Formats: sequence, C-alpha cells, structure tokens
Amino acid sequence: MDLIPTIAEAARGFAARTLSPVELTRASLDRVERFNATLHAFLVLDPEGALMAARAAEARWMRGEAKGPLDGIPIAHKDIVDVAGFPTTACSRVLAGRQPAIADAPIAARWRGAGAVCLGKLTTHEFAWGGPSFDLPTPPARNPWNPAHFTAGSSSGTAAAIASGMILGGTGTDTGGSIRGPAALCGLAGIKPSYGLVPRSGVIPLAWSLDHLGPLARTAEDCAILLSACAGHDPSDPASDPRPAPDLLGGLGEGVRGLRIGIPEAWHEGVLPLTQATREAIDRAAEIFRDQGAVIRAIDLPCLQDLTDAGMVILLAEAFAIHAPWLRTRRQDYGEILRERLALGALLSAEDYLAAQRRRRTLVAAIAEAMRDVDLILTAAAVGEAPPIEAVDRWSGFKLPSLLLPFNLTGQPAISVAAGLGAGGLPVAIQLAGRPGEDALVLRAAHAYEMARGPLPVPPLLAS
Amino acid sequence: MSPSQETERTTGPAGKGSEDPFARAGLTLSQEERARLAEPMQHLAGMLVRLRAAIATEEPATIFPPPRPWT
Repeated sequence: MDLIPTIAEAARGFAARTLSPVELTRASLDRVERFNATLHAFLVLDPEGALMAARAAEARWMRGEAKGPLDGIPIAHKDIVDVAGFPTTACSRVLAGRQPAIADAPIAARWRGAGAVCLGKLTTHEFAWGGPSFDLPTPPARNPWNPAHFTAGSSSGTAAAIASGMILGGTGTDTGGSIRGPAALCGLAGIKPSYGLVPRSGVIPLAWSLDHLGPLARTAEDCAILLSACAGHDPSDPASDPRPAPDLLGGLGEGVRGLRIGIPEAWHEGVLPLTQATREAIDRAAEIFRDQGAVIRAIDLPCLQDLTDAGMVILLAEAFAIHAPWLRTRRQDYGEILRERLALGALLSAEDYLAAQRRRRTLVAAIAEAMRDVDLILTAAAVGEAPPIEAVDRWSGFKLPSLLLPFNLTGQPAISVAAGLGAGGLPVAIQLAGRPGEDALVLRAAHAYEMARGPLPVPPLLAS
Repeated sequence: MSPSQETERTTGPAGKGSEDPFARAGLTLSQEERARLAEPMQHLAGMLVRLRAAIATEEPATIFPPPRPWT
C-alpha cells in the first residue's frame, strides 16, 4: 500500500471493505520499519498489541459493529501522555527507568475506546520544551520533507510519524505552539483546542495555565474526528470544561459563506517578516475564503511582542515551579537546552508572575473586543519553511515574538493548516483562530480551505 | 572531572540570603552556563521591563475574578 489515506478515507474504505484495519496497520508498521532509523519518530513500538487491536477492529467492521471512524485507525501518543503498559519518559534522563503507566490518560483511553490502534510512543522535545536536543537518551525527530531539517517542537515525533505515513493521527501538546508548529513545518493539520476542551490528566505538565492537549493529523477533517473522540469533561482535570463538548463533525462541510475573517497585518511585519511563500499563502487563503463568500478585513490586535512577553514569563515561571525540585537534585540529568532554559525561571519573582498574569487579562480582553467584528483570525503559522535542524537558535523563543503563543494565552482554538511548499521544497502554513468554544467553526473553515487548496504532494522520502 | 565541573561555583547556600538568584533558588551554575545565559537573561529582562510598564496604569488589578454561584 503506497497511498496513505486520511482517517476519513480509511474509515470509508473499511466501511466499503476495500481496506482493512489489519492491512492498514501492517502498512503503518512497515513504514516505521523503513523510516524510523532516519526520522526518530517512534521511541517505543508495540507491533503485537497494534495488530491485536487491528484484528479486533476488523472483526467489528466485518460484523457491522464498528465504533466509528477511528475504529481500526493507526495512531500513537507523544511520550508525555500516559499509555497503560508503557513508561512515560518525556525523553528525559530525569524519568529514565520509570515504571510503566498503570492507566491510560483520558485522551488515550477515549481514543482506545473509539477503536484506534495504538502503535506506541513518540519522540518529544524533553518535557515538551527542550529541543532540538542532541544530548538526550534518544535523538531528536527529523522532518520527513528533508531529514536535515527541523520538525519544530515539541510534538516532533508525532508530526514526523504522521507526515511519513507511520500513523494517521496522534497526540500533541501545545503550551506555546507545540502542536501547531510541528504541523506547520511538516505539512499537516494540528489543532490546539479551546482551553479546557480536552482533559489533560495523565499528561506531564509544562505550564498549567497554558497547556493544551489535542491532535495532529493530515487534514482538518481528521483533526475533527480525533478531537471529537477525546473532547469533553473529565473531573480528573480541574481545568476541564464542564459544558458538553460541541459537535465538531456535523457542520464541518458547511463552508465559510457569511463569515468575517480578520487578518492582523501588523503581526506579519516588522521583526517577523514572512517569507514570500508564506505571504503568498496568506493572500491565497484570503482569496479562497473571499471566493467562498467570506468577508475578509484587516484587524488590529495587541502587538505580538506584548503577547509574547506575557506568555513567556508565565510559561517560564510555571515550568520552573514544576521542575524546581528536580532541578535542585538532578540538574545534570536534563539535556543542556532545557536545563538552561529552566534556570532562567530562577530570575523571576512573584511580582513578575503577577505582572504577566495581570497583563494577560488585559490582552485577552483586547483580543475579545477585536473579535466582536470578526469570527475568525487568519495569520501565518510560521514565518517560513523549516530551518536546518543544526541551525535552530535555542533562544529564539526569547528573542522573537511568537505567532502561536498568543492563543495559548487567550485559550482560543487555533489550527495550523498546510498551505503548500516554499522555495526550498518544504511546507508553509496558515493559522486560523476562533473564539473560545468555537472549535467547530475553526475546523469548518480549515476544512473549507483544504478542499479549495487541493491535495499536497507527498514528502520525497515517500515518493522514492 | 569535566571542565564544566571544574569551573562550577556556588555563590551561596540555597535560600540563605545569597544575592545570586540562581543560588538562592538552589541551583549551582558553572561559569560556562552563566556565560551562555547572559544573552537570554538580557532578553528576559527586556520582557519584564515592558510588562511592568504595561501594567503600571492598570488598577484595580483582577487576580481573582468574582466567584460564580457554586452549584
């Protein structure tokens, strides 16, 4: 099987009996075998467990008792998510030798309950913040579009595994862009849901008030399928939204007619100049939405640097609080990048953290006010294509404003969607953000965009 | 002993009135690490200056919003 289906296509194939879960899982395992030595996406592989789950899914499809579109779909989890029977190591020596998790995190349990076939655990930047690091127990994941290039992080293994066809979807976490960044640089879709939509218990935290959990996949439609299967309240996460989860699939095909989409042009200028391909991708996306009946307008949002300042100080303070006990006793067990990043947290005071949280409230209010006139925000998801992995500046998060972190600060749903290839032959991407709770609208617009955009080429790795 | 270990220094016992914020937090940093952190420390300092300036006129502050009814 050379063609890699989307989750939606695979489910249709299962229903029509033109594709079987066992066949799809075997093809996925074969790609792990072929590509993992280059891409370092998988940390732990469970072929026997996966094939057993695939056979059970296949039997359900054959009996007409399939659990839904995820039944029989190969997936895997970032290694900060608990999966029963596997140790959760966060790719860190700090957690080396840890006992296997005794229970699934809610997201893993919900996907398992929907019939998804778990292939194993995936590489992450150390504790979801320290990378790309070359001094961890395992090497960093590589970009399937060019293995010499960066995947972005921290959900690096998830993105590499999906882009190379090892799995059709997987978990990511997003504290400052760790779902959307890898999705953008690897030519995928990745949604950071509204804060509280997906319960985070059983997942190692990075920064409690910014952490989000969600899916990466090849398309927005696949993200909707995956998110539908894991969204909803769980009392084990105190920040879990108690309201019923929205219907994310029912209106997916309704298009964007009548929607108002704002572009914050100032975000794309100044210190973050976009590459020409990304600039053109924004313009093309606006044209697509306009052609489909949306209204495109410019909007003023708080400046990126102000949002980044507040977000980084909160992230650093909360991450330091989480890691301080280990930093004091096992500092040398961290990789150099995370060890030094976290050390900066020692420079922050209670006054600084409160200043950032107070500023956050003001900035959130300003964005909420700006969104009275628009339904969605359209931005770049990255300034351009993935850089060479050796050239990544470990301090860029402190030096440059972020296009992604603002929506962690606000808790808004935001999705990164592939927008074609740049001059270097690697993907570029757009980002769509909606109001909190309007994840369905974000997915609907992303789906409409993808339908008009058409299919992307596959990474050269897969074509060879 | 590695070069970095040789240059490690402790500028004060953790939590005991040291003026070194790293030592006060219980962290022992080598001279090499301190040198590498110099530039990001400047960027972080810039962030804090901008944050403090931005909130200077924001009163009253809302740290704890009014509780909703407990149902």
